[in-house]
Amino acid sequence: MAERVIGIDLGTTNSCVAVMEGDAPAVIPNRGGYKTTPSIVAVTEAGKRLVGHIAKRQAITNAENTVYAAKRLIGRKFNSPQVKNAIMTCSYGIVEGPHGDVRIKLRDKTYSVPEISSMVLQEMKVIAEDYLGETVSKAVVTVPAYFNDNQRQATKDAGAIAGLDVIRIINEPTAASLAYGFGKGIDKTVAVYDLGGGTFDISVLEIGSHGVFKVIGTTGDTFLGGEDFDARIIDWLVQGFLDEHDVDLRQDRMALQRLRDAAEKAKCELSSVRETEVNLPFIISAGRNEALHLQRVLSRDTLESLCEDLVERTIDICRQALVDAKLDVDEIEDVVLVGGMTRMPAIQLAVGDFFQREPNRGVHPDEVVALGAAIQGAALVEDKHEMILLDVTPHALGIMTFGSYFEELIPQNTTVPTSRTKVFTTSRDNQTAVKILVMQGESKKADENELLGEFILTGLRRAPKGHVEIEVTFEINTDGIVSVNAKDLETGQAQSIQVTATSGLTHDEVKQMMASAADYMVERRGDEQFEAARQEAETLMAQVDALFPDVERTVGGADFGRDAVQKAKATIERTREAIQRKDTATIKEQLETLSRTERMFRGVIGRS
Amino acid sequence: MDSNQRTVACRVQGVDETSLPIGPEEAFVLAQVDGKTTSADLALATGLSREQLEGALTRLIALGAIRFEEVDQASEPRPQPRSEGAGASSRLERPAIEAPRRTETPHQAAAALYDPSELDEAAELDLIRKRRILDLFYALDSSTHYEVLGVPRAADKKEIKDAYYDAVRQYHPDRFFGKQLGSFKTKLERIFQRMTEAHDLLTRKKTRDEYDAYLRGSERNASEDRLLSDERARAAEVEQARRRIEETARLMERVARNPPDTAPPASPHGLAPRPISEDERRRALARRLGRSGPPAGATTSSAPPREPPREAVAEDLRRMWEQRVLAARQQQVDQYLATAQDALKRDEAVAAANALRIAASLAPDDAGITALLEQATVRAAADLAQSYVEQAQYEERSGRWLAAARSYDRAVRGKESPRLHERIAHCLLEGEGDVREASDHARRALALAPDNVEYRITLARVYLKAGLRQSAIGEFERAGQIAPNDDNVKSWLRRIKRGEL
Repeated sequence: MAERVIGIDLGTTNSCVAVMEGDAPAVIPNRGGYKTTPSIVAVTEAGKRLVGHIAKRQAITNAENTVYAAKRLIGRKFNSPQVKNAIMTCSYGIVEGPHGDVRIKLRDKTYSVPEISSMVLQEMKVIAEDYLGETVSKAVVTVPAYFNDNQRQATKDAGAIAGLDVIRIINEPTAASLAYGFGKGIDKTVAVYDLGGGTFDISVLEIGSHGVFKVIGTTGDTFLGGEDFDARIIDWLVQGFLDEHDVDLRQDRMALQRLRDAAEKAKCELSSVRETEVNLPFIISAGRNEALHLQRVLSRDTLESLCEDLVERTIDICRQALVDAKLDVDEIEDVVLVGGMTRMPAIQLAVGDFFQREPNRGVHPDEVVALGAAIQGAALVEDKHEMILLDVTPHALGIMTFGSYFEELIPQNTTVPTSRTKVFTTSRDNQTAVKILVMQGESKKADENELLGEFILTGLRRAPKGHVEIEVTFEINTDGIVSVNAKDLETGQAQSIQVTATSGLTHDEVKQMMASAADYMVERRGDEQFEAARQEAETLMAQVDALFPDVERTVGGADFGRDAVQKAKATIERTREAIQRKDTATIKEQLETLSRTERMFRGVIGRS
Repeated sequence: MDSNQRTVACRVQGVDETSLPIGPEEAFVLAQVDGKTTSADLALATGLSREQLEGALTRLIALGAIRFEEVDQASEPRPQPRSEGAGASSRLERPAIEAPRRTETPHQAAAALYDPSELDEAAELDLIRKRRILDLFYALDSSTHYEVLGVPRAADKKEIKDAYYDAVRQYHPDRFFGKQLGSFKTKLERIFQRMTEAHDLLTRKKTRDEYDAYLRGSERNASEDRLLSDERARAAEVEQARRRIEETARLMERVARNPPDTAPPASPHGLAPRPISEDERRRALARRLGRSGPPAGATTSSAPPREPPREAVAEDLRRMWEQRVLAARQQQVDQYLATAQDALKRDEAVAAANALRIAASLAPDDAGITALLEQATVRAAADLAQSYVEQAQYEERSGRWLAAARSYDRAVRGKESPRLHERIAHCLLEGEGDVREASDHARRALALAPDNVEYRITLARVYLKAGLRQSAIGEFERAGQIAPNDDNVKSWLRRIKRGEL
């Protein structure tokens, strides 16, 4: 059997891992028994790294060193408006990296965003390995459909740092549709409405009963998600508090973190109840020995009016998606809701109204993406070929031409893999190199689009301008990742260059991070073994300790008894020292002696 | 390759011929495919040119109607082409000797599509799959969207989708994930890309309608082109008509000798004269052609002589025979005139011209017919040119620049126009075609319309492409003199000034 491939939904707020078990995909619960794990990473005062639920729990007391929603920053440039916005609202420190990328400062160290994401991926990998009892090295990781190439590449890098070979990046709504339609013989045109923690995507697909999933169109907003809904609640709470007490809670990072948690909790509760109370005692100190409390009732109606425009924005994007797909609303035969936010009744209502049909509730909004990723992973490596996924490129691809215009080569929503070829010529006499700026986006103006990479072809023959012809082929592979091949038409000499999407990291950096992540893995595994040995030793030592009085009384002054007790005490001493030193090997050695001693002591007492 | 092996075309079992989207030429070739004949022998058997045969075979392979197989020569003695033709030659219209004859090599049919050594490339694919990939890949350019998906022209949306989904499962690169594919990977991607293009285009009503119209148009253009230029076919038809004239004359003779009891016999070829008089017909024809016809009542030389027989019986019989031949000829000529008229009614000037040409061959001394023919020929050429322009425009819109250049070229032969010359140059420029040809056309466009700025820019761009920088600058500057305020010209001149060109 081929090696197992896990599917990971690397979410803004929560992540989820799944694997194919037999013919059906299954979500793997983490050690706490939860099927999703918060995508939160923290570093404690002692320098210890925390990921998941534990990181989330300590976030309030360690807000400045706790990273949440790193996905909103991945693959982005430091000077982008989105990052500027994040700097304003995030409790952790965001600094500029050496390549104009984003770095996050935790304690005295800075981390790249792919590194932070890799910590979450590594956690998911460990969850899967513990469950499967085998090493896992291959994964399919999902990204929002509207992610550009830089964001995809950065996500791939994160996988590599975590020691995972990401065999395919797939789009979240597409993954959801796989889980929705896989093996069910469905023959329908469906829309997948995916509102997650940080991103919104809408995809329209045709699912053929032959197991072919063909995406017709996809669009979205990478900065619209559950966090924006939370922010509205926070604004409302902060404003109310300001009006009442004339105190701005935003100035206090700890208060802000508590507000964030409370807002999310209230939002979730309002999906099932009409109103909820936000109760945050001692939210902020007010002068000497006094503290102010925040207590306010939030109703579902208030929440809906606070977020009305956000919901409307998603519907506008849905409308655009149908236009792009050249479909009428009545041609959509089912609507699948994905992402925790779709539990909100106002969203279900708005989606139902727009698509003129009750949305499908057959899939689990938090798990369906990971399930789909696991299906795709298995379909790729197994020889059954039950399913083929045809995805599209969410953004147009082109180059910057004279006058800073964007010349489109591959249009948006083109089914991948695809390629286009165009011939370019040199523009200066004796030019020996050409520079091509590869861009992605929908604007006619080059500078409004995302620069994927600069492409320099060298070693051209010296000739008058226009004389050297270079055939450039743009290719998008099944991963949605772009490569450019260039061929000198005269010499036939070809140069093949992968556009290294600027994930913000150089190849060497990724390798170095991989190495240190691997070190960390060894360290971490060691920790676990030490912890297990320590617990076992502590238990045995406590048992032996408890038997000392009885043993001493039984053997009395006998030499044998005194000797045995002495030896036992020495063993315990050695074990304590080993625990102090974190010397797992010695502890393990002592474990046997301890358990022998314990058996012998019980024997001594029993005989008497 | 084993010298005892040879490659023959075989029919694929279970293929319903009648549902294939093929024309008479392919059907003719298909009829000759018997699992024994090599492609070289097929060329002999069908009398088609190498190019035509290859085209037909390629389409039939793409449609899955036939495949090539290797057979052992030892078990199946190779027939001599000439003697083998015994069965097939009865169907031959044209002498087999005309078919090009090449030294036969195994895989010759395959070699027509691709170099068989490509099958030897190391890849984790079995030979059958490699062959199918190559067969498809090398037929991509010459296949229609229907052929690429292997569906008939009349296929409905569901059939197209099903065919596409099935093809995707076989040819999507993910089907071979993790396998070493070498150059087959790119080929698979191209096949997939083209199939997707075909699916996307054919499953949308608007684009499919446009494409169907384009296909019909280009096929009609090709067949009309053939009709106009194929002298051999016309000669054959004239020959046939002459035979019919003779047969009819003989029949008349028999009827005259043994007069039947009943009413006059029906013509054996359905060629009974229509109640319309010939003059009326000519006038109607002339009206349709937009000119006044030959003067009404103008008699033709075909009127039978009226003198009664008075000399020897032999002389009498000879004259009688001549009369009958003349009458039969008139019948045939009338028939072709009627056909021409019908064709004109349907706005098919090419068919009309063809019919008139045959009529003129039968009655070379009839000045009226010659005049009609001239008019019809002019109109046919104009019509065909217009259709080719439409074809070219569709090709241009689909980015098939070289095809568009060819169609524009075909159009300009029927209708001289600077615009068409300019379009040829433009399409050749965009499609990286022959620069010399492009500059010829651009210059001709300018010769016809020297003051057209757009044409001059095109010529300048062609010069740039050809590396004739000084000439190009000269043309841009001349364009600037003609239209100093044209934005496009200004932008080019600016670029020259900045030294970007």
